[in-house]
Amino acid sequence: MYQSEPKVISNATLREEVVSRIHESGLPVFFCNKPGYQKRYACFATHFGSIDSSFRRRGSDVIEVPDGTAHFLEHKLFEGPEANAFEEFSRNGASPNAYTSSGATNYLFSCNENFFDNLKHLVRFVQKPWFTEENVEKEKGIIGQEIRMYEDDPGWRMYINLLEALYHEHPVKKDILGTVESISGITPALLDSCYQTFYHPENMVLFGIGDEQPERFFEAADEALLERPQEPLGKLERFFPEEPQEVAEKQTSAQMAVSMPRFLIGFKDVHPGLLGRELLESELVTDILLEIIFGQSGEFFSRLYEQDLIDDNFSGSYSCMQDIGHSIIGGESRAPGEVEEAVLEELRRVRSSGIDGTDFERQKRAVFGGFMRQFNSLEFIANNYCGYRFLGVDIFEIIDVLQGITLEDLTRRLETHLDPERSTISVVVPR
Amino acid sequence: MEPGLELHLRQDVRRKTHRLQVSWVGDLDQNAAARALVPNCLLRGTTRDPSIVAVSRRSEELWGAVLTGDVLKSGEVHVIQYTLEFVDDAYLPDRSGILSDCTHFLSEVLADPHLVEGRFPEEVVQQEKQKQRRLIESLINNKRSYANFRCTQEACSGERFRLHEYGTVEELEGIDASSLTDLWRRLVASSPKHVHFSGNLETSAVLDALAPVLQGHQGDPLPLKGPTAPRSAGDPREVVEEMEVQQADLVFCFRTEVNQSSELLEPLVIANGILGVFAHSKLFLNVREKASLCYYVGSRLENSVGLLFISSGIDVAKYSLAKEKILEQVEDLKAGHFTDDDLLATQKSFDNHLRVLEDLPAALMGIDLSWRLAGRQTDPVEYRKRLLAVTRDQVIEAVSHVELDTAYLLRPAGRA
Repeated sequence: MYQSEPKVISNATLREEVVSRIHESGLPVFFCNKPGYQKRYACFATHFGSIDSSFRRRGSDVIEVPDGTAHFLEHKLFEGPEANAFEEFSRNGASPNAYTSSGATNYLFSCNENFFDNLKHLVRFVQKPWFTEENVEKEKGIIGQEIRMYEDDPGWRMYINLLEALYHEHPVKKDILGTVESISGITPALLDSCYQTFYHPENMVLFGIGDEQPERFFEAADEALLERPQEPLGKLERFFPEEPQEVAEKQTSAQMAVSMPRFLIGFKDVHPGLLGRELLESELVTDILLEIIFGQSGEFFSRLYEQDLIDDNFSGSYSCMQDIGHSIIGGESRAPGEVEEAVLEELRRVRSSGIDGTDFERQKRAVFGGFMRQFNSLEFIANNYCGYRFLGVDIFEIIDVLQGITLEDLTRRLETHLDPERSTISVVVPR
Repeated sequence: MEPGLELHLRQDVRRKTHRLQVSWVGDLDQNAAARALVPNCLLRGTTRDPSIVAVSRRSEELWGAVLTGDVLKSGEVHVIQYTLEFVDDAYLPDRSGILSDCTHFLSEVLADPHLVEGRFPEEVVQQEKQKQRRLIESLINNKRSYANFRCTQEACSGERFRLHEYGTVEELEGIDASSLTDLWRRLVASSPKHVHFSGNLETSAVLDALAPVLQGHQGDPLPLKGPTAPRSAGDPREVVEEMEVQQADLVFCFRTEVNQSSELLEPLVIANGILGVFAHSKLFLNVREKASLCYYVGSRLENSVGLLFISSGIDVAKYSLAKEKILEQVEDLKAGHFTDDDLLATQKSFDNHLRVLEDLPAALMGIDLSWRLAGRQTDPVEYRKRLLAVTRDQVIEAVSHVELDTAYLLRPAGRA
């Protein structure tokens, strides 16, 4: 049963439409019809990510969990007493997957046939945890190998090093996987207390997309969801340490088996504290700003490219999670130090000369086209709808927000962000 | 249409963007480095937009049209590929229309580059050579693909398939602006070409719009060598190399004796699926889930050259055990140790996978091109039917020819 009648959310420019209902368990359920598509896709996401390492539910004791717990739990949920949920999808012709980010854990599958059977399987296995001493221990071996794999990935190492240099305290600086040491402390009881807290329907989202009737989707979801009556989630508090405005380190470096130095330059945001439409706007404004200053259509890129300091991989982007945010500009270079100097110098220059209106209008067109391309993808729509919803954003608003951005927004943003005083560089150099 | 120029159109009413893909095909040989340089020099500027800045601004003006140029390897065929993806006019706010501008833009990139005294600017060629040298050297940065590449080189020494699509640093040495410009002119005039278009347009409208892209081709295409006949495995070889890494990468190369024209092609595809493509496959279940020996393990076919690869990331201390377990799965398959449900699940999975690909123009174009190059029929529906018709006995027959050729291990330096 659903608490609410179907509500339609649409966007005329994107020509997309989503139907939403709240299930009696408190779970928000969404469906987006995509006529003609062969693929059907659904994801079941919880607002539990790697940064949620200290929390309290309904005023009971504060629970602190080791680094890597959310990701560990993701792995473990696929296992049931009889069969592996992954394998069952596969035997039903579906492709399942899951991922954990800093802010969320997402379980998903895609298929062509048997969409509703697969949907029910998704909903049921995520609602049916099975943690034993034995299967938790076994998982430590598998995740241990996954951690080793990432340790050999220069891009990942450099990124984690950058976050550690940007942040003093905030758990965003920790590797989502944790470490071999940190996960060694994970127990079935610990996983269970995280599960009881964060896998409550009110803290989750179910999203389906494909060429199907929305009513049938809501029906199928309801059948699988009925099995679990819920008491309300109640108050869920997440605790994050106070994070200073300054970066923790001005530079960090690692030696790895790479052919050429690689670098990421990070800029820490000043307590953004944003949610909803404001957060979306800030992300768009900052991304456009970075593209105008450092993108391939700018003089800066061209100059450094011709000086053989950067290649086509040079690019920048911004990400924000409510209380924290940062821009990252990175690439490969024979001389990362020279690139950093040039980047900081360019920012000083742009601050005094201002941003060109023609560049701004052109960039807005390009970003518009980029979204049209991305909204071809069922996964993009579903994953972003869920991920952004936890931040209070309706992703369908993105085009309207984009169209409302002005040159003054960029100028104002440049006054507070991309400050050389709050920058750091992470490099990986050849051994 | 001129000989050597083929146009493949597909109407797709569902998407908000159009995709245009131009492929120049040739043999994979010692000329790969020079051929790989061509698209990179073309992307550096056209007569109308003679710099990276100008080309990028033009793309942005065209509502963020995405232009790419690169090379890829399809069996023993080397493909230079350009793509342009751009918003369907129906979705643009000002309804001005960019279709014709986009196809002109791509035609300029392909056939009207920025030249100085009839040649690519010397500094552009030098910069792009430098970039490509670094790209080749950077193959070691991704351990998994590096291990696969090294295993291929070892297993296929003396065969064209061992070559990398970017060529070698040595091949780059002798290239200059003049030789590269000559190569580009020859390719424009005589390289066999495939042009793919997917979007919500009627055929007549596509043909009108594509006219500029089809100019320059003069017929009389350069002939391609046919595929090499698949070889049998000799005595298996073991190659061990060291690198400063945490995790070891293990790659096995098997000879299958089955190629694109073989009757056993579909049975082998199914056999490979039972072995290591899906979450219900033997390798995933027995080596990863049950024995906890690795984080990833999977198998893939290179049907144009009759090869099957298994790769896995393992703890080097468990090398012997992992090797034993992995090879055991292949032997099990040969012995027919798989259930009817394994067979059916694999057929269903491929069927679903192939249907879902119909949503993705880039993937469809990729498959279509690779099948055409291999001389196979190109109807995905027919292919799906053939996969569904594969029997248990055919799977066992197909896999009976699979023999280990080379085991390659990339291990952490200085560890026991």
